[in-house]
Parts: sequence; C-alpha cells; structure tokens
Amino acid sequence: MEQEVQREEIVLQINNLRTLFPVSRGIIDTLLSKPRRYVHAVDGVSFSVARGEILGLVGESGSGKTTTALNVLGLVEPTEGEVLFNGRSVLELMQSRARLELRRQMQIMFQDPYESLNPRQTVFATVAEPLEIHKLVKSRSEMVERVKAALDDAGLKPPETFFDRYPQELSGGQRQRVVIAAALVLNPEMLVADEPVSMLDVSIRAEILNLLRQLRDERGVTILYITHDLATAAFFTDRVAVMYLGRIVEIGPTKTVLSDPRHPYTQALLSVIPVPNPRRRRKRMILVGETPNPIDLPSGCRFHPRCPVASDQCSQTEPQLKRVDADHLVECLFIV
Amino acid sequence: MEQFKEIWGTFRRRPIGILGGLMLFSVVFIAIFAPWLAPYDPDEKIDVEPGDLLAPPDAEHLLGRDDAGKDVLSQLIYGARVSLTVGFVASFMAMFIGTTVGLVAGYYGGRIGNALMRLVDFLLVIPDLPLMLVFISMWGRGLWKIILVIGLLGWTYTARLVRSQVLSIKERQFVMRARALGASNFRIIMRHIFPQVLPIILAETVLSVSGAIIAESSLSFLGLGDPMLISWGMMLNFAFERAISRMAWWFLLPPGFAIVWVSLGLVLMGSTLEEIVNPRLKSHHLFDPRKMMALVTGMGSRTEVKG
Amino acid sequence: MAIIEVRNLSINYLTDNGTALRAVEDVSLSLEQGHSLGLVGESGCGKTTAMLGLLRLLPAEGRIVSGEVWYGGVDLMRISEREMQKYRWSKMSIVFQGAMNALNPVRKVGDQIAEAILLHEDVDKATASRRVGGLLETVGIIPEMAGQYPHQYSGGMRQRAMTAMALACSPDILIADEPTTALDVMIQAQILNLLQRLQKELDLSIILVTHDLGVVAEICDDVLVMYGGKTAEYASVDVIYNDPLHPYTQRLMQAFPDIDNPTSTLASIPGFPPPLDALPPGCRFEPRCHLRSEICSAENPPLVEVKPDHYVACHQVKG
Repeated sequence: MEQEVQREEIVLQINNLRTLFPVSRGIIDTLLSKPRRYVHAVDGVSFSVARGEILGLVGESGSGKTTTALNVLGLVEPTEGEVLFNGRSVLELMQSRARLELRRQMQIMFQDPYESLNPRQTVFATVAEPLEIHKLVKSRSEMVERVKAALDDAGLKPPETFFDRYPQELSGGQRQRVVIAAALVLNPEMLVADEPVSMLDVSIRAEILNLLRQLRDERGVTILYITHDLATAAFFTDRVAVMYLGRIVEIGPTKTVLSDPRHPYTQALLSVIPVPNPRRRRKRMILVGETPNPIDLPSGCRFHPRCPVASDQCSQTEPQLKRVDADHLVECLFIV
Repeated sequence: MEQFKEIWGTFRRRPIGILGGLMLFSVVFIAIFAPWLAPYDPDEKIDVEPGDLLAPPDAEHLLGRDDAGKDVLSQLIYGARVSLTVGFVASFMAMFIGTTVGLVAGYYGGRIGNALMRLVDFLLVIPDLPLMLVFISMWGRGLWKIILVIGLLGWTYTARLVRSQVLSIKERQFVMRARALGASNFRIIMRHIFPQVLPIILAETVLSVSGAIIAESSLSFLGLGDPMLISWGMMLNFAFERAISRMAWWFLLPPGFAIVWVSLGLVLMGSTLEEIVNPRLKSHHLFDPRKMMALVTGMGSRTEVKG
Repeated sequence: MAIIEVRNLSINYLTDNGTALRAVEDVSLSLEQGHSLGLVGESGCGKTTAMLGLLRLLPAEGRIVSGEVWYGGVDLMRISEREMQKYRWSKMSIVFQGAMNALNPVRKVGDQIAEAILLHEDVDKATASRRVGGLLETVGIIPEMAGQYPHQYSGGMRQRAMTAMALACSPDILIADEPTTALDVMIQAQILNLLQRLQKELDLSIILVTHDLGVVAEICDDVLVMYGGKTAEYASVDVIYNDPLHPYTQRLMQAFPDIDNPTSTLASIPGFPPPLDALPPGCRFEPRCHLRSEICSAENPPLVEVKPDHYVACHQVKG
C-alpha cells in the first residue's frame, strides 16, 4: 500500500484488513470434504482516519462497510490484517484489561432509532448507564449533572424534562439524539455511525448530521460515517471511501471524489442518485443486475461483470489502489 | 410503572380477563380470611351422632357434612389455603428455575446452552405425573415435599420459552449497543434482556399456577397428599372412597368445582396477559405485509375490509 | 383525459377511547391517463392512508368520512364491497410498502402470481402460467425464475415480482407505496427505470407514494405534497421544484441534499408534525412555519389555484 499523504495525528489505521466468515456446510459437503467456502465480507481494506476527521464509508449491501465498522470497534475479529487505534492493536486491547477503556473511547450509533434504545429504560437510565459501566461518577448528583449536560449537548432541551420519558414517547429524531447523548456522556474520541439518519424523515436528517458535525467541531470527535447514501455523505464527510464487495475502489477528499470520480462504480453511483430537479434529469448509468454474493467472487477485478468499460484484462488481473492525485486513490486497471 | 398501565389497559379491553381476575381474587380472599369465614373449625367434630355422618346440607351446615361428621364448607374454605399455597409456591419455584436456565442457555449458547437444552428435552419426555408419583412414594408425604416435586419438575416449558425469547432479543440493536458500551454479561442479561422477557414470564406464571394446583390436586386425589392438611384433592380422595356409594354430592362436587373455578380464573387471566405480551397475536395489517397481500388480492381469508 | 379523480377525500381513524383522528382531510387529485403522480410527504402525513382509502382497504378503525373517487364514470365510494372487488387488482392495484416481504415463502413465486390472475379472471391454469412468464419478462426477470421460491430471489427481484403481481390483471392504475425504500441505490434506479418503462409501454397511470423528493423528480409528471393529512401544494413536477410556493415545500426542498450542489449546511425544519389527536385549529404547518402570521393560527387555509394548475394551501400565498 502506497504511503498516504501525511496528515495530522492518525487516530485509526487499518492495514490490509480481511474478515471472512465461514459458510456453514451441509452434512453431505462435510462428508465429501468439499473445500470450505467463505463470505468475503472485508477483503483487503486499508485506510486511515485523522483526528477530528469525518470519513465516509459508502457502499451498497454486500460492500463490507458494516463489517469494517465492527472490526474497527473490536466487536468482530479480523481474519487477517490489523486495526490500530491510536497506534495500538484493537484486538489486543479487547483482550487486555484496557478493554473497558477502549469501549469508552469508541462509541457507536446504529441505524434504527426504534431499536437502539431499551424500551424499558427511561432516557435518564439510558444516558446514565455508560457512566455506571465505566464507573466515571462518584455521586448521584454528579451523575445527574453529566446526564443533563449530555442531553443538552445532544439538543434535547430542557434536559430535565426528558429524564423520565420512555423511548416510545419520543420521535425518531429525538431517539437518535438520546443515542448521541449516551455516546457523548463518555467523552469518546471516536464515533462510528452506521446509517444514523437513513430511517429518519428527510427534514430531520440535516439536524442530526449538523449536530454530529458540531460535535466534531467543538470536541474534536473523529467520525466514521457508514452509509449507502452518497448524497448525505457528500454533504457531511471530509473524505469518502467507496466500497464494493469488500474492497475500497476509490478513496479521497469528498469534494474531489464527487467532482472527479475515476472508478466506473463511483461514476455509476453518482449518476443514478436522484436529483431533486426535473430539469436536470441526467444520463443515468444504471448497472445491470445486482451486487454478486461475496462468497463466489468474480475473477480479476471484482467489478468487471457489471462494469460498463471492462476489458478482457479486467477478468484476469486484480487491480490495486493507485494514486491519481494528492490524496485520491482509485483501484482500477484503467484509470479513466 | 408504565408497564402496569399497559397491562391494565389491556385488561380493561378484555373483560374476560377481569372476570378471571375476580375469580382468582375471590378464592385468594377466602383463603386469607379462612378463619373468619369458615363457620366451623374443619377438624372439629361437632356433636357427632350417627345421623350426622354424611348429612346433606341444612341451615347449619351449608354444604352438609363429611363421613366423619365434619363440616364440608369449612373444609372447602380451609382447603383453599393448601391448594393456593402449593400452587403459587411451586409455580414460582418452577418459574425461577426455568427463567434462570432459559436466560443462561439463550444468552451464552454454545456448550452450556446445548447441555441445558438436552436436560430440558430429557425431562420433557418423561410424563410429569408418574414421575411425581414415583418421587413422592420414595420420599414420603408432606406439604413441602409436594411443593418441591412440582416445582422441580415444572420448569422445563418455561426454560424453553425463555430461551427462544432470549435468542431473538440478544440480536436487537439496543443489546448490541450495550455490548459496544462495554457492559458486562450480567448487566446485559439483567438490565436489557430480562426486562423484555418479564411480561412473557408473568403471563406464563399465571398459567403455570393453575397447572401446579391441578398437579397438587391430582397427587392428593391419588392419596399422596399431606395427611395432616386438608386440600381439595384430599377431599376428592375421601369423597371418592367413602361418599360416592351414598350419592353424597355435597361432599363430592364442591372440591372439584373449586379446582375448576380457580384454574379457569387463572387461565382467563393468563391468556389475557399473553395477548399483551405477544403482540403478534393481533398484528395490524398495515404492518404485516402478508396480511396486506391477502386482503388486497383477495387471496387467503378476508378479514377486516372496511368500505 | 383524467383516468381517476379524487374529490375531497377525508378519512378518520377511531381510537380505543372513541376520539377520531383526522388522518386525511379534504384531499383531491386528478390523474391523467399514462401520467404519474408523486404523492409526497413525511411519515404520518396521511399519504398511505389516503391510498388505502382509495382502494377501500382501510383497517377496521379507519372510516372514510366523505369524498368521491370517480373512475370510469362510477364513484367508487358508493358501490358495494362486492362491486369494489371487481375493481381491485383488475383496474387498480397496489405495490405496498414492504411488499418484498409479502410473498409466501413456501410457494413458488410463479404460482403466487398465477393465483392473483386466477382469482380475478376466468382463465385456466395453463393460460395463467403463460401470462406469468410474460409478466416476469416485463419486469425484467427471466421467465424460468417462476419456478423458484422467494428466498432464492434477491430483494430487488422480489420487489419486481410484486410489481409483476400487481400488473397481473392489466390494471389501468398502479399505486406504488415507497417502492424503493430499503433497496440499494442501484436497485432503486432499476426499479424506477422499470416504472418509467411500464408507464410508457403499457400506458400505465402511476401514483407513487414516497418521502423521497429525488425519486419524484426523476419520474413523476405531477406532485402533490401532503402535510398533516391535508394537501399543502399540488402542481406539475417542474413547478413544484422550480417555483414552490408553500413554505413547507420550500423548506423540504432545502432539506433535501442535492449531489450536484453539495452545500455545507443542509436545512432542516425544526419541530415535528402535529399529533393527529391534537391538531391546531389553524394551519397545521403554522408552528414550524417561517412565514406565519396571525391568521395562520386561527384559520385553516383553503386550497387555492394561485396560478394555472398550481394549487397552494397557504394564507401567505396569494393568487
């Protein structure tokens, strides 16, 4: 992997990450000793995230973005490669006594606001829980203060009125804010947000994303933003990595990737995103078929079966990430 | 607590559940206030003359007398105490064991889970009543022995039920969030998983009390009850042995009726509770794509089509 | 030539304690043959309810309070349920939200589509099966897949299969409720492409219900924006996007990310839609509106044709 341009302090470094899940075999296959098959969820991913940066991992289903996130968090073990958080291996940290500290520094936000909160816990209990787990407060009044501050920072004002509410009484946007408050209360260094706004109404999405960006601006939180929606990534992220079938096919500063996409997949994705203006109905590059399953990968470049500009060579040679610009890398045999 | 409001709301809409509750409550009331309600001390033989044995009901003895001259009504009232005590205590014991086993097997899975489930399967295969008979015969009779036997053999269904619930709950996002926060397994089980299973356990408990009462009655009826205490099952036992040839219905029918009354009350309550707890029992077609399909295309049964 | 005309449709939901929630109030629309209408609004605005009302498929708690739905010279609200069944599926059909999960997992997809045909038309099984093959091809699935089971289809394919089922009896009108939610962007594009093709090739009239403004801009001819159960604005797609007059429409446009102009701040609309059991006496959008004045909280604005074929319900917008 070519050396990336030096940026300020690197918080997260992923090197050649591969995570494969065995496909369970039926009894016949086991008896016949057929070779094991694997889901190549993440198949050779490398990138880094600087402190205070917002990196978007964009991809459709089967791209491996969620598995990558789980690897980053240490909730899934890599098959190969390493995940380094502040220079230390996440895997080692998870198996050592520093595990709890790691869990404090890295927080997660999920997609479904209706499922992210324990329906039998009040808002207060949910936001206070991280403090209890990490034993960060010594008195009840200190706990109340910190919960209040977290709810306030997450935009739920006045905070006290939310203490005794249950998730069912809150709207989708409010629930996501509670999740954010529960993440904030620990003062984490990094937040992994997996589709945090896809299930919210359009008019509320901006609020939540703006809130997250504010958190980065004010507290220097590093954010890994996982989504299938390139449009919100365009507005929210500093850098973006486009994933396909377990690999990064293009990565670079968001503005650059969006204005000058070099990988055919990125170009296709950009072309089909619906644009809210009927006068700008663009020429859409609609790819045929669906993303193939990550078990039986295509030979050579894994995008070649659907690629509008593929050639013979593409089915034989696997491309590597190549630098096309200062911070812009693309994985394609023909950088167009 | 808002869960209770939820439960109360469902009961209000299902009067049959309230009916069940009243039925149960009446028996509990009677059992608690037995000394004040029973006209006589059940063991007391009051001025027994030969004509009093198996005497039919009259003004002084509303349900007549048994073959030893004792007042049947008083026995019935005091019998409630034993039946309810055994029912509740044994059932709670079974619930506790079953819930714990279910939680552990469901959450940890793996070898522990498999081992526990094999044990459950093993116990489920053996028919309950004969096994209880064997134990009591070996162990001897007595109130606590009956409670233990029923409790120790009655937990398997709950364990299965709880385990399957836990399996699906532990995949839910708020549980994953808790894990990502660094919560210990114990905390996750107690704070996040158990509260979601609790409503089902409550509904199941109510139903299982009725099962325990019937189990106790069966054991007593077969002559294996505590000889020192009157229970409805014992009354049935005596009635069958001694009163049936004389057609003394006042001795025969009341205990059987009482058992049915209590069980029915519990079952009505329990099924209403189950309904709250299992929302899928009445899912709305707007949220259930398959029901929608049936409605829209006319395939399947046509239920709520409103014009 | 309008193929279906809805006039002043109002639908209530009755709650357990007897109160009536005004889920849809006084909604009117007109769909030209071969055209597509986008019914746009956020969750809870009543768009799905309105469509279910159109097909008279409301749940038991739903009541059509008033309104007319004119199709083929008949007011569908006045006919009996038996009569209505003749219209459902054969004249108007629906691909509803979550349809991809509505297939029976233990029956072959082809059989399920065939059943839809057999239930509504008097044909034999062989004819039905042949038509199934044709339908699958129309939606871009190879006919041989008819013999497969739903779990062997991908999400996008199941959505297409449901569309095929909805087209089984060659309806005039297709209602598609959030047809692309939960699908990958590329699959979304395929489905939208399919709908466009069907519109052109079959002269199909489509009502597309969605919260996604981008989707509507891609394929719809007209747009009806709903808020709090009422129509906020109703005009052609070009007008709605380039000359929105209702404050809600304007704000909604600003909240929607435009990949061609990635600005660094997206607008959002503070607050939330009114709860249906506590509707304000005046305009339902007033609490969140940036143009509001006194009359707005007092009176509900009527839907007015402020420009030719451009309807807006707002006190601040004059003709």
